[in-house]
Order: sequence, then structure tokens, then C-alpha cells
Amino acid sequence: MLRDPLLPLPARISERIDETADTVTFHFELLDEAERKAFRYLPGQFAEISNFGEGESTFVIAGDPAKPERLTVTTKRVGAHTEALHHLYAGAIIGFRGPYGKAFPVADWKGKDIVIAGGGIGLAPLKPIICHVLNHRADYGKLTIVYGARSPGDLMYAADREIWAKAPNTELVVTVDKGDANWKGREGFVPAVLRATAPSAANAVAITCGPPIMIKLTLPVFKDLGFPAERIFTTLEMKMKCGLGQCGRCNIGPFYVCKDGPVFSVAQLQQLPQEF
Amino acid sequence: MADGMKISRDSLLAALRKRGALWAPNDAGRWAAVDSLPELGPIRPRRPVKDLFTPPRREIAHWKAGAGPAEIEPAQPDETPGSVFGVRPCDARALLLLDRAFLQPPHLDPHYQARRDNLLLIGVACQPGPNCYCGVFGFGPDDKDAVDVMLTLQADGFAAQAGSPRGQAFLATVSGGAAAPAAAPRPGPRPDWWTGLPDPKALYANFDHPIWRELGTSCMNCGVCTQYCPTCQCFTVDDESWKGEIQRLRIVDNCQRSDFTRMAGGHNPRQVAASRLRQRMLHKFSYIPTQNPGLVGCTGCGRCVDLCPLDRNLFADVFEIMKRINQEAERVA
Repeated sequence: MLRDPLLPLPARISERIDETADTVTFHFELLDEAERKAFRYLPGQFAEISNFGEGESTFVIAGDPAKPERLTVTTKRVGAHTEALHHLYAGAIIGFRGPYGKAFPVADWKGKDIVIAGGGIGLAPLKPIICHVLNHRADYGKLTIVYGARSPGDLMYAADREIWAKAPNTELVVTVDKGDANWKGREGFVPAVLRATAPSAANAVAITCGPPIMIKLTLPVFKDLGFPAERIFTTLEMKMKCGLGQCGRCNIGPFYVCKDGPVFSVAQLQQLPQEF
Repeated sequence: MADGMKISRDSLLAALRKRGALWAPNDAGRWAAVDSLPELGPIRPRRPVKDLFTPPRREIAHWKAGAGPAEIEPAQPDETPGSVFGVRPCDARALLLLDRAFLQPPHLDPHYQARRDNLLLIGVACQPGPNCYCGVFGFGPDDKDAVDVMLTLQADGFAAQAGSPRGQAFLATVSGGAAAPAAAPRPGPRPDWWTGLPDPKALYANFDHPIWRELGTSCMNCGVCTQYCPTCQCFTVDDESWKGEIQRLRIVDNCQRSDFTRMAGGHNPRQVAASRLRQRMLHKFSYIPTQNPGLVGCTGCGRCVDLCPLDRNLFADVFEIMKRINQEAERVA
């Protein structure tokens, strides 16, 4: 019989990483071996994560798409469900449904430079792109990553950033809004640091994700750098419940963010009602 | 050759019971299992027939608190064969819209599908009420296109017409039926002042029109219109726990609630009442027709008009919006 698409698959948390004071990354594996081996996802796709008894929430799959058996979500404590999730440690069972949504068109980006501007937990949907580019290094040009957070303590993915900093043909620029006594790095907001970094827009695509205000201020910088709207991508945040295009919640204009997005080019966003 | 049939109430009931379970509207206007064919009111019942197909509360799975992953019991689709008696054309047509939502590959809802596959829709022609508007959508009170069988009440039984091959096969099992010419379809009611459905693209192009705000002030977002709408599909997913038993539920939701789109971080793209009213109207009259040419997210049942505590009339509102938009377009031209 057909499986209910709302029924989650059980998964076991294999590792918990406390990224910041309010942000936790969970690595986990599907329990069912056949499901685990068959599972694939693409950068930008998301999933519904259950904490059984507490409900379900939407998170981007923030892992390396080349290692789909090891699934990853990064969660920020902002509501009742994420609060409950943050009480879970390695060994705990969670539920997983996915992958859902349209991915970043990484195949179309072959041969191009990739410029990434992320803020705070907005790095989570960008990480699978970075992994993909580094896994297929020869297929892409220069990779520029500008990543910022409010304070040094709010920067996440420390281990990943060490790898990215040493990766070939890759420039990683990390900034914080305000440093502390131990901070020796850069200070400044992502849009300003991006402008100063000034990556070339010739034969390049730009991808940004972060707090709404950061995205709002970053898009004009990309425009000034010469990126056309068709080559700037972001991922929309919209409340979702089903991920299947059924529950109606993420409807915006004639689209459902869950199946027509969440990844959109700025050119596509300009066609949507300005509700966001 | 006659394309209709004349059948008696008793032989219809006998054939329906042979087929399996039977549902019909009860005295409260809710869809309930019945043993006999109830006398129906003149117009559609209080609740739309979608309740049998996509119930307001449906279990996805249940488990005991502390249960392991193997002990999560998925809910099984109800494959009971049976029939639904007393379906009105507006509610049946609404199921065609819900099919588009729930039977859309790759994510088919097996619970909805099992009901659609196993329940025969026995329509009964109605006497339209004062707020019925099916004529706006090009069909009438005895429309048979979305039911398996359409019946018209007669002094001594029913005049029956098949609406589908499944209905045709069922009618062949009704004993004592006599061939009879089918009556011509009756036109559906529509307001005298109605001039036609709005252009979906023109509505969308006027997303920022001030009229939405004006209409929004006369709506308190109670959502009763969505809760009784035969085409509304929105739901939420949540867990409920009671005495150590936990249920994962798919529960009907309503786009007029302020936290329908409120995200965990507090951001809410539809913070003001008017933006939610606009969402409901544009979804039905612009987004659905844009994505599915030929379909509109409304079948004219008029329950939202009957039930609105502030006496809003959806059709009058849509008409007013289009009038304003067209007037302004003329002024510009």
C-alpha cells in the first residue's frame, strides 16, 4: 500500500554539536537500512524533523550531499519545538521526512565562480553548496564565502570553516558585527564586508541567506557588483507544515514555497507579491 | 434511447446496502453512517462532504509515550466500500479541487485516495437557497459531472442519471429500474448583478490595491468561511498526548488565523487582517485558476455567505473588487 507521505521515518542522532548558545547541529542516520542507502538529496532541499510527542518543524538539510547517509540539520532555539529538540543528545530517536523542495541549480553553475554571502544560521542552507563545490572542485571556478555573525560566539561550523579556509581556489572571509577581547578577525556587517571583498561578477553566481535584514541589504551590493537578478539566488523562509504542496501554509502568489521553492533567483522573486 | 432511469427508494437502499456502508447528512447537517436514506433538506447540508474524505482531524500515527521507533503505529487508510447519499453538486465539484491537492504525484494522500476509490457519490439534486451561487461556475443544482449518480426526488422514488461509468454500473444493480428520459439540466442560481468571473491575472496585478485594506476592516478573521468551505484544503500537523498515548494528527487549519504564517522566530508575512483576507480571496480566484486553467477555488455553495457573522458576501466582494479595478483601468485608458 502507498505510504502516507506525512509519516516520518525514524532516525537516530549520531552526534550533537552545540554551535552557539542557541544553535545546535544534529547529525543523524535513518534507521531503516534500505531507506538509508537509497536516500539522496541536493543542496537547498529541506526536511521535516519530528521530535515524537512534540511535533514537527522544517529545517534545511545542512550536510554534505555526497554523504547522504549522514544527515544533518542545524537548529536555532526560537520556539517550543526547537526548545524540545535541544534536549536531545546522541542516541535519541527523531523522525525524518524529505527531501522536499527545489534545490539550488548547482549543475547549471558548472564553470562559474561561486560567491556566497551568509549570516548567522543562514549558513546552514549554504553549506551543502560549499560541500558540493569542494567535492567537484574542477567543475567550478573561484569560491568566495563571506560569512558573518553578531559576535564571535555566534559563528557556527568551526570545523567546516577550517577546511574551507584551506580549500583550493577558495576565499573565506569571516566577520562579526562586534568582536570581543579575543577576536582578531574582521569586524563589520556582511553587506559592507562583501562590498569590500568585491568578488568579480563576470561569469559568477551569487547565493545569499541570512536574517531578512541582511538579505535585504546584501542584494543591492550584489547588484552594484554587477550580478544580474537571474544570477542571484536565495532561499525563502516561510512557515511550512507538510512540505508536499498540500497544507496551504506556504502559498505565496501562484506558488507553494515548499515545492516551487524554497530556492528562488532574485529574478523569480521579483515576480512574487511583495509580502515578504 | 432513454439515458435516465426511474428507481424506487427501497430498491435504491437495497442496492446501496449490498455495496457496503452508507453515509448521509444527519439532522445536524454532519456526515454520519446511516442505515436508511434520510429525508434531505432542500439545500446543501451544514457540513461539506469533504469531511468524509479529508476529515477535520485525521490520525497520521500513534504510539505510547516512551515507545521505540518500531512501536509507532501508522494509521491505516479506511478502505471500507460504501456510498455517500445526498451529495450536492457544489460539494462534489469541490472534491475535484481537493483531488488536485491530495492526489497529485508524487505525494498522494493514501487516506484520501482510499476514500475516493471506495465511496460511491450519490448526488441528490437540491433546491438552491438564497446564498447559493453554483450558476456563477457554470453548473446547476442537478449537475451530474462530479458524482457517480445524480438523483432527482420524485413523488414515488427518484429519477436517476449516471454521472460516471462507476455510477452506470451501480445503477445496473438497482432492481426494478425502468428506463425514463432524463430531464434537461436546470441552470444554477447566480446574482442578477453578476457579470462574470474575475480575470485571475487582473486580480493578481492589483495585489496592492487599497480595496483589500478597506475590505479587511470589515473582516474579523474568525475563519468560519474557511472552516465550512468545501474546497479549503489547509491543515497543520501536530502531536497530542493524552494519558500516555500520543497521536500525530493532521488537523484542519485556517488561513485567517494570525499565526497561520507566523514563524517560530516571530516573523509573520501576513500580520494584518486585510492581508489574510486578500490571501483567501486571491487563492480561490487568482492562484488556483492561474495554476489550473478552467478551475476556480470556489463552487458557489454559499456557506461562507450564510455563516459570516459580519454578513460579508464573498461574491459581492469579488464583484466590487473587479468593478473598482476595471473602473480605474478605464480611467487610465
